[in-house]
Amino acid sequence: MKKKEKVPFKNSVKNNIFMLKIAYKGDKTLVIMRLVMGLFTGLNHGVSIFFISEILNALDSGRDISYIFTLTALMGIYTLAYELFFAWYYKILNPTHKLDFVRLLHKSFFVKANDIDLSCYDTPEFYNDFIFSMQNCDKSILNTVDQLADLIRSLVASGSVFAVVLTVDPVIALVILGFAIADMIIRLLQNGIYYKYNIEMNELWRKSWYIEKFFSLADYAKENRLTDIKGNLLNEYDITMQAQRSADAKMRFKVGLYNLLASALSCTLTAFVLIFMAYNLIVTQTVLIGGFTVTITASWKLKNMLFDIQRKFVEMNKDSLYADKVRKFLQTEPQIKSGEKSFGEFESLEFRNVSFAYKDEKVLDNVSFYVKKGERIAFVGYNGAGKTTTTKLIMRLYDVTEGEILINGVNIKEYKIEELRAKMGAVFQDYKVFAASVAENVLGDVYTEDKKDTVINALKDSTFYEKLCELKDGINTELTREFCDTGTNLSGGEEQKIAIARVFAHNNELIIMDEPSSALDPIAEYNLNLGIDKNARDKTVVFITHRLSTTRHVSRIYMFEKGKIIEHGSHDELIRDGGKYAQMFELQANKYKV
Amino acid sequence: MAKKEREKDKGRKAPFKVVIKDTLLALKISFKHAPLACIIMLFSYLMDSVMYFITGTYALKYIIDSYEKGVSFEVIAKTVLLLVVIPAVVQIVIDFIVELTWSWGSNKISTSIHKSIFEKNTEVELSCFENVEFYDKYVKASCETSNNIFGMTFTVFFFFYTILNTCLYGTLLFRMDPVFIIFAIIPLLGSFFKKKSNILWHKHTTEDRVAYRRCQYAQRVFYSNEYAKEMRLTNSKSFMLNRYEEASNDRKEIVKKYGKKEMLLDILGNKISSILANPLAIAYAVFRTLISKTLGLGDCAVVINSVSELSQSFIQVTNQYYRLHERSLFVEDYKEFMQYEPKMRDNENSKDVQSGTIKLENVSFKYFGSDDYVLKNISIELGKNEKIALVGHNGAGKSTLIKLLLRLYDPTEGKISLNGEDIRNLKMKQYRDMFSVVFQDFKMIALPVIDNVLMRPKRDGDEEKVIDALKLSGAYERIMKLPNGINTLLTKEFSEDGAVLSVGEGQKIAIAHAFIKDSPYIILDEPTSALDPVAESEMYSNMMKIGKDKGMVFISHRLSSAVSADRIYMLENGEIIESGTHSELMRLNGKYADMFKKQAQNYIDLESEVAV
Repeated sequence: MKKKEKVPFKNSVKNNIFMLKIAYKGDKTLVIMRLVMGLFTGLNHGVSIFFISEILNALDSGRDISYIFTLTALMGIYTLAYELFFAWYYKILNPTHKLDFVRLLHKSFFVKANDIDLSCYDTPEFYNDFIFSMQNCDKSILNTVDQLADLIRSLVASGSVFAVVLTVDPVIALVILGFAIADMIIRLLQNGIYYKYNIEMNELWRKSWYIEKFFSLADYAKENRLTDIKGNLLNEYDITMQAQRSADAKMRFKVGLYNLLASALSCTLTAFVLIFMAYNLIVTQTVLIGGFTVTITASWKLKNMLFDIQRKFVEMNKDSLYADKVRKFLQTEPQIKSGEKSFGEFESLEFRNVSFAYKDEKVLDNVSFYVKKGERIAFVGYNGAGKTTTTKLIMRLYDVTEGEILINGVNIKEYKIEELRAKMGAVFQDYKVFAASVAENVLGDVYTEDKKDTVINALKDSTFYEKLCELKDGINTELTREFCDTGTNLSGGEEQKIAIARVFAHNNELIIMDEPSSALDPIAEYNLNLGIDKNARDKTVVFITHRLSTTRHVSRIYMFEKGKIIEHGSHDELIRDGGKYAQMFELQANKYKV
Repeated sequence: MAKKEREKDKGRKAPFKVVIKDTLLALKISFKHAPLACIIMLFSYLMDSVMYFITGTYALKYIIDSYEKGVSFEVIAKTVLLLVVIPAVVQIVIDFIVELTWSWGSNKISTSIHKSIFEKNTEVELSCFENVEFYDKYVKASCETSNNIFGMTFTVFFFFYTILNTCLYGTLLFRMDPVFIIFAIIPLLGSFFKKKSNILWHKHTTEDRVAYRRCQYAQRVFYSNEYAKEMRLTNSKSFMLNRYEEASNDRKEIVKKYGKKEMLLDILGNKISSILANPLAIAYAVFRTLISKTLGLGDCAVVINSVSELSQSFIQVTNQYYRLHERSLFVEDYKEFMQYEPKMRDNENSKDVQSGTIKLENVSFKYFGSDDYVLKNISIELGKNEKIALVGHNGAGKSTLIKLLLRLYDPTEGKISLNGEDIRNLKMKQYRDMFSVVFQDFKMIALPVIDNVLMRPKRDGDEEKVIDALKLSGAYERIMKLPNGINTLLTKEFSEDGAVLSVGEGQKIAIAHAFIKDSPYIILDEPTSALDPVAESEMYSNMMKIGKDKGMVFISHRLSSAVSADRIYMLENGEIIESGTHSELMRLNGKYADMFKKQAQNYIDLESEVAV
């Protein structure tokens, strides 16, 4: 499975081009300037060698001193201009353009991310790879541009230095090139070792990292103090580190051997260049002292540059992995497609023989029910029986595998998805509060003065009002400290009340509440129920709850077990039938019969 | 505010003496755990410098000098060969040994550093994790310690490298003409600007960090699955986009604010040598060759070639110091952390623990740095076999009370005693060992199921016990369906094969831990919030069987579990407002009774209906 991670060279080129295209579309100036910079810095190597070589040659050939001083002054001026431009580019032009680019890029991706099917998030591969690459796509795209620019720089630099050496002595130039190729082969072989090593080590690194985290995160601090779990983890840490060391040792030995070979090559090349040039200077006398010095200096430069280029290629390959994922993301077409029909007033909801499977696992099996406007129904049953999934199907967060869901007699796939969802309000079991103001959180939208009453009334009904009075800025109070240092952190119960207010504020015709009071204490729960009664008098409501007391007054109860509805009817009917619901209710009620 | 921050930054400067001390400490740690690897590494750095000098400059000078003296090519070739090959062979061999020893050694070093940190992180009191400043500075940063120690060690090695370089090039140039040294020193003037530029950069990044974090948060909202459902059902993206845009613009403004100054300081700090000193040195060398005719043509070439090397070396030396300084700040934190004396610890007078009655007498508590009392004047008693229930609103202080009971905190006022002995005088480990606890916010650990149930190293015969405990907590069936049963790794933290359990299943694992630990007291802090009624009821009846001879504390919103308790304590705003048995409190008809009735309403109605 992990083998797939390797990207063949051809794909790597394709991926890099793909990333460059995104960058170019996003900000032309950014890309062009970066590449020009690469060219420019590359040429600079040639230019500085040119100056030195001119000065030395002028000395050798006995040129006029004023000429040499002029050259030196020119060299100073050129360097000044170059450095000024360089600093301006890196400190001002590049960072501002980068920020603009990053902002626009993410904004376009945000929109796209919102359209992705929720089911994508359920696969761990997606979650792990994808989200990480999305968070980092800006960096990897910019990195691709940087690397191309660097490659241009290296090529131009080595090209220009190569030209200098070539004019003095073609033999040396070619020999250096030959050695560089040999070195490249060795490095490529080494990369193969590193690559295998990284895959092997991945799990071990994650393990040691996890254990290090365990001890420094507050999440585990209590358990760490109250139990002896430390022993298990220390033991695991020792084993992991030991394994790291032995895997390391194996790899290092091989790498070391290749290094040995590479260093031997490099040493031979050094000796060759020195002796060969000495031969030219002394025996054949084809070169003067100036040329001798310049050639040797340039040779070292050339050697380093050529050895550097192949490293660049390897790096480009690395980012290519990201590109694959970004590309996959951009090519993902949502499976849940919007229909054409508009939505009138909500009249009825019907499940007709609906089955649903996550991957291969069947979660819902032939579920059918019918709800009229104004009815309230409750889903009850064990954990994992399929209650939450059923509500997600209603909202079209997933589409059914078999059967159909009808609203007002029409398959929900035919409605415009935005309108469909706008008709529904939901409190999720794992509700989330945004780092935004209370009002924005309640509205789920931008807040304007005229909505003040809506927000406050919704908060009153969700029993948040008391807390609201304590908040300094009222409904404009920022939640969490993400965007505001004086933001307020709410408790789990308070956050749940905000999530509930969200539904009240919207006057939705169909309301779905998945365990809306799980984090509330009994009094708050009681008051909340009153709030629901008041707000949802003529609405259609679907409850999911473990507290069976809430289910007494609903129109119908559906008891789920293993993805099927095994019982349904009113509370009294189900109690009379004496089935599983009655048994469950009895268990809970028992304790209150005092 | 701004002033305070400036003072804080000022505080983040380590004097020279401290830097040296910290550097020595880092070296000591490195050398202690992997002496051979360190020595070889240092040697390798020095060899690099020698090789660089020989091939880059010295061989060149030798050839030119010999040529001018008329030495024969054969002699020159042989000498050059020896000059290059001998050190090269030494270098190659050393590099090979480095490859073999360093990674092994560095792993040893970081293992031992981490382990010392693990111990410390376990030893410091829980409040250290909640005091944000302390946590960020010490606990969180401690993960980076080994990197900083390595960083310092390498910087020192590199320091020696540059020193050797400076000496080699300095000697070479000094022997030709001491004046050249001056040109090499000129760029050092830039170090003043460099320092300024570092400070400016630090300010820039500090300011940017906030805006950057905000951008990251907005990205998380859009990309991660946590918010995916809400994002699809509401129009929250509208205000989130606004916030993202604002934060991005803030970042841009920061770049604009600092950019020009940074650019100037960068040039003054780093580029003086290439812009000014090098051309001047060349001009001087040319002058001496052509006008005063005191320098040979060959020497002139060597000078032009190597004067920038020397100035680079000088700059490097100062740069290395700055790097050490930077690391030193972190090492200081590490030292302080390791020297931190936990406020809760045993001393030689600490006594052994015997189970008995636990008493809280007039206990008040406030969290570190907070002025508000979370608990006020609490008095509670828990006898050896008693069952007590803590009830009340969210945030009434129930969970905090449990933490005090477990001595995760010490009370601000009042005392907690066991058998009449203040628990502060008891051996802490022994004391805590008397409890098995299931927390509201427990976390699965990325270890096999069996470890998560035991929460201690395995011993013989544990497997059966674990299976029994899982049966009692109702998790057995589910766990046996996992590929490796109780040996299945939990979470996907580091293996794709790990099992991910639902919250309810996780709770059952945590409860199994309470079943297996044969301790005199059991504490259950809302352990069943994610369980369905049947599982909950089974769990409770099993728990009551196991806990017949134990002391138990319940916290639950479902008051049904409180009914059978020996005593119920009703908390409100950190105070106990009612206490007694269920029937006493019902008779009292106070807040508890109100709460109970509201919850029981539907059930009790039914009761009467049936009765009718």
